[in-house]
Order: sequence, then C-alpha cells, then structure tokens
Amino acid sequence: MATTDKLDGITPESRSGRELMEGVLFASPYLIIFGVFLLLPLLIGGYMSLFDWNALAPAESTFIGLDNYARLLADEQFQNALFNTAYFAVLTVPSILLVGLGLALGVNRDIKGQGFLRAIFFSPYILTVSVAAILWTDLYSTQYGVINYYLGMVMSNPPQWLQSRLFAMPAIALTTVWWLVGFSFVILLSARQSVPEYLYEAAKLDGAGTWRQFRDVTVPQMRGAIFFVIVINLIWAFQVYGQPYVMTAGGPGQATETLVMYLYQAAFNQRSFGYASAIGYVLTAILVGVSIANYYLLGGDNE
Amino acid sequence: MVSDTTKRAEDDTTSPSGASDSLGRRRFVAAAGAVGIGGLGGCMGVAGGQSSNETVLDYWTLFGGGDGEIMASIIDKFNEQRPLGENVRINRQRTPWAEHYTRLFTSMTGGKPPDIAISHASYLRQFQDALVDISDNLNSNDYVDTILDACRIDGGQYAVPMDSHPVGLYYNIDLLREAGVEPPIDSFSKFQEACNAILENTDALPFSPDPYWGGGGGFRQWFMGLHQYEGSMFNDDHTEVTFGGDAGTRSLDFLASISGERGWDRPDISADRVARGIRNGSVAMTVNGTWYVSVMQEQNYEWGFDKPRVFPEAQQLRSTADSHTIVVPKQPNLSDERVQLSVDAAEWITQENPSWGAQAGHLPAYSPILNSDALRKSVLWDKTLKYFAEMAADGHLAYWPQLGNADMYATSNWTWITDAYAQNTPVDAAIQQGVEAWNSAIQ
Amino acid sequence: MSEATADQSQRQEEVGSSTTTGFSMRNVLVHVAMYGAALVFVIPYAYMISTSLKTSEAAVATGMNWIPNPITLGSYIQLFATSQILQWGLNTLLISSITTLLVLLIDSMIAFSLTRLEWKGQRYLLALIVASFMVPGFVNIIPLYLVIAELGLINNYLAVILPFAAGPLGVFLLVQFFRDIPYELQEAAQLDGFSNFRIYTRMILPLSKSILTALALFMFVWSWNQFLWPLIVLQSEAAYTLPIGVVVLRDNFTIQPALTMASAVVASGPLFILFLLLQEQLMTAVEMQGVT
Repeated sequence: MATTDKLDGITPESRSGRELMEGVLFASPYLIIFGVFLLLPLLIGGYMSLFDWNALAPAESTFIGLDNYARLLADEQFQNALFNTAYFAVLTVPSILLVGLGLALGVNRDIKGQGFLRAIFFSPYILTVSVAAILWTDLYSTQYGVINYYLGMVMSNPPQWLQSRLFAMPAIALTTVWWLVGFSFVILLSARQSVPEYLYEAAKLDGAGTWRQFRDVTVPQMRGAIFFVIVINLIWAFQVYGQPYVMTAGGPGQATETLVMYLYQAAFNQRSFGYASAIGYVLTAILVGVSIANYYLLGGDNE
Repeated sequence: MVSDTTKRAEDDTTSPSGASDSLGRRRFVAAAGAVGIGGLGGCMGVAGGQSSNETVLDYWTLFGGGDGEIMASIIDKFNEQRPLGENVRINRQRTPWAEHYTRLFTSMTGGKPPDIAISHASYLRQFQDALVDISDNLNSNDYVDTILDACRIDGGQYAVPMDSHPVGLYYNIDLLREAGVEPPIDSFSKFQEACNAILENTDALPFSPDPYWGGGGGFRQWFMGLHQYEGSMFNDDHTEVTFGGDAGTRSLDFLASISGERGWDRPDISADRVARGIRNGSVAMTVNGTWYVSVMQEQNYEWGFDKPRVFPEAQQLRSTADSHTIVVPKQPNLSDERVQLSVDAAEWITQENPSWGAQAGHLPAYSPILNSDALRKSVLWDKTLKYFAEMAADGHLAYWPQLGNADMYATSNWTWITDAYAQNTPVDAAIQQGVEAWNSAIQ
Repeated sequence: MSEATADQSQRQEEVGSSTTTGFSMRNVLVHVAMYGAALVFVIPYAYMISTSLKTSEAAVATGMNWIPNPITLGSYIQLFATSQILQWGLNTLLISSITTLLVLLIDSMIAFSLTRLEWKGQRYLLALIVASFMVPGFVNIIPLYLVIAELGLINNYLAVILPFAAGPLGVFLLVQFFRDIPYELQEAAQLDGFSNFRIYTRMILPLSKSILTALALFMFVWSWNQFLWPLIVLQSEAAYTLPIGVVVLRDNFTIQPALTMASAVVASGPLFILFLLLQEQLMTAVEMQGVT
C-alpha cells in the first residue's frame, strides 16, 4: 500500500542496502511490541481455532481441524449476526462520513464560536461506550425518556425505540453516530485545514462555484483522510459490541445481535474458545475483503 | 515501586510452603521479559503494600452498593481480628458484576487466579476443571443441606456455600391500602384481587414481574413460573431443552397477559422502568431477590413482602434461587497449606458473619447462623428472611441449573421473554425462539 | 442567490481574515445549521449533568425536570468520600500518558520508515499491520493473557500499556498523512546531506504536528476509556483505572441514575478539559500550508 515509487528518482540502487537497514531500524520498536502483544496472541488464537479448545484444561483439548469453520457455515445464529452487523455498518458508516464531513466543512467556515463548536462536536467521543449506551438507553426509554416526552407532544404514538424490531437497530446506529462522529470530524477538519488555499483561489479564477470547488478541490485533496475515516468506521462497525450489549442485549428476539456479541458469548458464556476464535478469523477475513474492495473503489493512494 | 516480578517472588517465599523450588521456566521468562523491556519495567509494577512476613489472600467479589459495603465490613473485621493468625490478611477486590466471571475465567486460564473468589453455585460446573476439590479441607458440614449439595459436583466439594438468594413478592403497602387491600398477599386469588383493585382505584400500575427489564429481563420470574407449573428447563444431564411444552408456555403466557389482556402493566421493557416506578410509587408490586431489601428500606412508604404466589392455578410454590459460594481456584505450585488457609478464610467469612443475612438480606447457608438470635431478632427476619427460610425448609426453592458450557445469566439468551412481554411476538413463537436459543447455547 | 454573491461570501468566509460582518444569507444558514447541530449534540449532556445534580429520589421521579430542584452535589460527594478515586485517576493518567507517548514515538518511526524510506517488503508489512486491526479484540483476550502471564507482567502497568501500544490505528493514520507530505522537500533535504534521522526529526515530525496531536488525543482518550482489559490484568483495587473504579462503586441491582451520571462526569471530565487545552494545536496546520 505504501507509496514508494516517488522515491525511485532520488534513491540510487547503491543506497538500497542502507535504506533497508535504516528502514528496519525505524520500524523495529513498533514491530517488536506488535509482534509480541498482537501478532503472537493472534497466532495462538488461530491455533486454538483448530481445536475443541478447553481453556481451563488445555491438555484436554481435542484437535478437530477445520470443524469449527465448517460449523460456522451452517450456523444460523452466525448468519443472523452477520446480517445484523452488516446492516449496522450500512446505517452508520455513510452517516458518520457525511455528518463528520458536513460538520468539518461548516466549522471550517468563518463562523462565530469555532472553538466552542469544535469542542461540542468532538466531545461525545470522550465517553466510554457503556456511558454513551446507558445515557441513550435513558433517552430512548418509552416512559421516562426525553425523546418520547417531546415526540409525545406532536404525535400520539411515538416509536418504542429499543424494543421495536423496526427501530432498535437504527436507534443503536444513531447513538453510535453521536458517540463516534467526533473522531472522524477532527480528522476531516484537520485534513480540510491542510488543503492549500491557493487551490481554491485557482479554482475560483477558473470560474468554479461552490459545488465544483468541493468536487474538484476539497474531495480530491482530502481523499486520504476520507479513505481513512471510511476504513476505520467500517472496522469499528463490524466490531460493534458495547452498544447493543448494553442497550438491547441483542433483542428484540435476535434483531440486534452482532457478530462480536456472538463471539463474546461463545468465548465467555459457553467457554468455547476455539469456536470463538474461528468466528474472529472469519470476521477478519470479511473485513480484509471489504477493505480491499474499498481500496480499489475509492483509491486510497494519491496518485 | 517494586517491580512486579520481585513482588511475586516475595509472595511465593512467604506462602506457607515456601515454594522456593519454583524458579522454573515461568520465572526465567519473567526475568527475561523484564530485562528485555528495560528500565521502564522497574517502575511499572503496582505497589501492593505488603510487608514480607505477611500472607495475603486475594479475594475477588462481585458485590456493589449495599452488599458491597457489608462485605467490605466483613473483610475489614477479618483484617482487624486476624482470626487465622497475625500474619494472614485478606485483600478484597471488587469486580463489576457484569465482568466478574469473564475476569475470573480468564485468570484461571493463565494460572494467576485469586486465592478465593465469589462464584454463584450455577457457575461451579463450568469452572470445575479449574477449581480445587476441597472435600478434605472443609472443617464443618453444618450448612443447609440443599445449598451444600449445590456445591458438590460429581462427588467433589468445589465451594464453601455462603447464602441462598431466592426471589419473592415486594409491594408498596401504602398503595395497597389506597386501593382498599390489606396484606398479606398469600394466595393467587388475593394477588389478583389486589392487582385489579389497584388498577381500578389508584393511578399506579399494579404489578410488573421484573424491576429491571431491559433486553433479556424477566428470566428469574419466567423460570419460577415454569417450576410452579411443574416444568423444568433441561433434562437431568443438561443435554436437552425441556421447557418447550405446556409448563413453559403457561408461564410465559401469564407473564405476557400482565402487559396484555390483564392490563396490570404496560408492554414496555425499557431498562429500569419498573425499578424507577417502584421507587417513585407508580408501580405497586414486583418480584425480585433477597438483595432488594436494601432498595425497599430506603423508600418513604411502608413496604411488605410475601412468598411469590403470583401464577394462576400453580401446582406448587417455587421460587428461583441461586447461591453465592466461595471457590478456591487451582494455581501452579499451590501448596496444601495455602489451600487449607483459603478454605479456613472462606469458612470464617461464611460462618462468623450474621450481618450478611441480618443486614444484606441474604439467607445464610451456615445453619448455626441461620438459627442464631442475631439473625432471628433482626428487623429483616420478620420482614423477608423468615419467608425465605420457610421456602428453603419446605423445599420450595427451584435452583438455577448448573450448566457445563452455558451461562444462565447471559441476557442475550433471554430476549425472547422480553419480546413476548413487549407484545412483539406471540407466546408460542417466543417459546420456540427460546428453545432454539438454549438448544444452541448448551450444544 | 446569484453565483456572484455566493462566490463573494465564499471568499469572505474562507479567505478573508479581515471579517466583514455583512449580511449574507449563506452565512446565516451555516450558523443556524451548526448551532442547531450543536444543540442536538448537547441534549444528552444536559440530561447527564442535570441528572447527576439531582437527589437520588428526584432522579427517579416521573416527569421531565431539566433543572434539578434542589441542586445537590450529593452524588459527587458520595463518589469522592467513599473511594480511592484520586488514586484511580492518577493510575489512569499514568497509563494513558505513557501509552500515548510510546505510541507517538514508535508509530511515527514506523510510519516514517514505511512511507519515506524504500525497502523491500514494506508493502506487505503495512498490509499485515492494517489487517491485524480487523481482528476483534475479544479473540485476543485469552491468548494475550497467556503471553502476559508468561512474561510475568500480571498486575503490572506494562500489561496494559504494551498491548495498547501494539494497536495499529496510529500506524495506519500516520502512514496516510506522512505520504501526503511533498517529496520535493525530502529530496531537497537529501541533496543538502541530511541524514534520514534528521529528516525524521527536523522535517517530518514538525510538519505533522497537527496529525500527531490528533493521534495523541485519540490514544489518550482510547486508553483512558478501556475497561475490560485493564480489569483483567490489574489484579488489585489500588491499581484500578478510573472507569473501572467508578463502576465498582455502583450497585448493579439498584437504579441510581444520579450516581451513575455523576460517575460518568467524573470519569470523562478530565478528557474534556484535555481537549479544550489541546484543540488549538490540533487545528493549526499552518506549517503545512506554509510549505506547500
């Protein structure tokens, strides 16, 4: 993924040996920590996924090859969770990008109280997931909640948010947008402020209106940031756990049960760690696939 | 600050066995790791504040709020009196309920669990592989038989029982009187009469089965109904779901009728809606466990309690029960002496502290405490404990099943109950969902 | 609105540093939209803070009361009186600060290496690091615990810090931004005989101040808020972090909205103050504009 071709002109072949050494040297502090505390556990997890793993008595685990993965394919609960998770991603990722971009472009204008607005839009991100979820569970509460208190004034039968099959997932998604958009907002605002003004000046000299400036200058110049925001939010969306766990426990029925909730149940409620690892690996494969598709669709590289 | 590796070394040398032969691979890797990480490691250890001649027993609990304070006072008393010798101290750690078992389970997979920990009796079978069989260490068998039995699995003794915590019917007497009803509520017909009177004569809602609700609530209450109709959740070896028949359906059907045709409650499972309602006087009655006394005692209305005779035409009285017990997890190089010390500490906690019943409201498992004046003359005895004690003595407790590979408290397995209560799904379909959820959970 | 006025107001808003406060329809609309959005964002906080200042009875009462009557600090006093809250705050500060500094250092180094130096295999390495980001954390809990236990790091802050520092988010973010820094600059510096180390410290890092501040903020917030992992490896109450501490003080079986909301305010408040302090650095990308 790295853009290295631009260096070709300035990097004579004779220097490549030193570049390699220096490159590895610069990379190694992270790589060591990454290797020991992320990659190694991942490999152990992959190993466990080939077993009917008994975490409390590992010696009694039986090797079952790819059976955990085969079981997954036929598991209806897994399919349901996968569908719910994809639905959640479809609801949240575009919303976070659009809301984040809208807020960033708005705040970037000559607006009064910029600092105040930046702080407000970022602030929900500082809450822990359980606080955000508890807070919104209260807001959605049909009898005591703020939302239905005011909706009740204008309509006779406001939705029963978290216990309704139709509204539960959108309600969780709305909470998530509120909670997480601050992160993307700050990234996008920062990227927008890095766009050189002379590009806009030049565009205006060419007679470009607001929309064309947005399309021909803003979006291409912010492509790296937009790509990053989409990928990060996709990953987060596919790993959603805390919000549905606190707000609905996966209900009503299993309408909001997500993949990672199902994984957590397998790992810590059924103590079936091999199966949980298999779910994790399949989820990772899906995410890698989606991200690669993304990469080619949106072009993460600035060519 | 002492680095952690050093501190652990100290711990081991002070453990009764000395454990000085344990400078094995683990210690070597630890040392190598600490050196590899360099100077940073030196100041990163958590100072435990223990002097070198003390034996400290780590004790993990899951109690918060009122229960948590009582347990804190019990451990403070231990550390003041030092009943097991001047140099034996207990280090209590509170874990939030929701994460307690995840944390305990994880610690048991890696060989660094606490010396003693609270576990519900219903989790014992899952943890069996990682628990010490303390049959030979237990000094007294003078615990209530049924609770002691719940700590035995496959002939081994895996825990010291502390209490039993069944559920019962809590109510707001002021609201009952406003509706023209006098307690006690000692039969279903009286209960029904009370509900209808409250519905007619007051602004309050008469009854909601669960104060907490939220996704996956109401399971204690449905389970109770299942057993009052002589049903069961699983077959004896927990390989099959058995609640899909008449009893399970009747139980859920009645629960759904409360928020449906009976109109005693709204079809609304918003989290803590009823808990608020009980506190602000807009809901008159609910079913909950022994621990709920700490909430009721803070109310500014008169409150009462009765056995949960809330299911119509029930064949028998049953109350959903589980127990808090104390377990001794296995550890590498765990000496017999340390196991004995841990069991002694667990016995002291469960045998010497009437406050766990008299103030926290749980039904003590140790018979001499159960029969003690300290308990029987306490305020809570007349209020709730004598009813719980009677139900226990009469065999009216339906214990939470001890599953080997599924978690009875995992709310995501219970959302079909709330779904039916919210009138989202017909009862038969909800039961069908429940059977599927549990079949997949225990497979 | 005509194209001409639109462009004019546009110029005033985006270019004009000498702000003429002339009436512009577009400007009004932007203000309305932004402040409307801010209001929506703030409603949950209003509820949170208002609830935290209520008595425990008032917090469960029926009806909608935005302004508590009476206003009480009772829940806050209860939190501070009965607990080791300061100790927990310090622990969290220590863990978050060290994690953040470590991440800034090692992530910027590897991102520099991956984007500004050329060596074989760096593409695959980056792909591996980003792919590892997609593994849900729960899968790693038990294997990671085994590794930590083998290293003897249980109950050591490093058991929290090092796994946090292994996270790929910072690498991914910095790679995206480092590669946008014009290569002409690096070329010029190399012709002047700058070593790669000097290019890293004197050119890349100063040019990335705003994104590094953003990363610092996110890492700090993220590590501050982590819950399950610190709880699992920090096996002593004195070592707990603030978000864990305030949760063990609550009772799962009693509804206490005032206490819950007060503990949320206490746990998150320091982060909000940090953001206010950092936001200017976060937003100024002057250097970047200067060089391009």
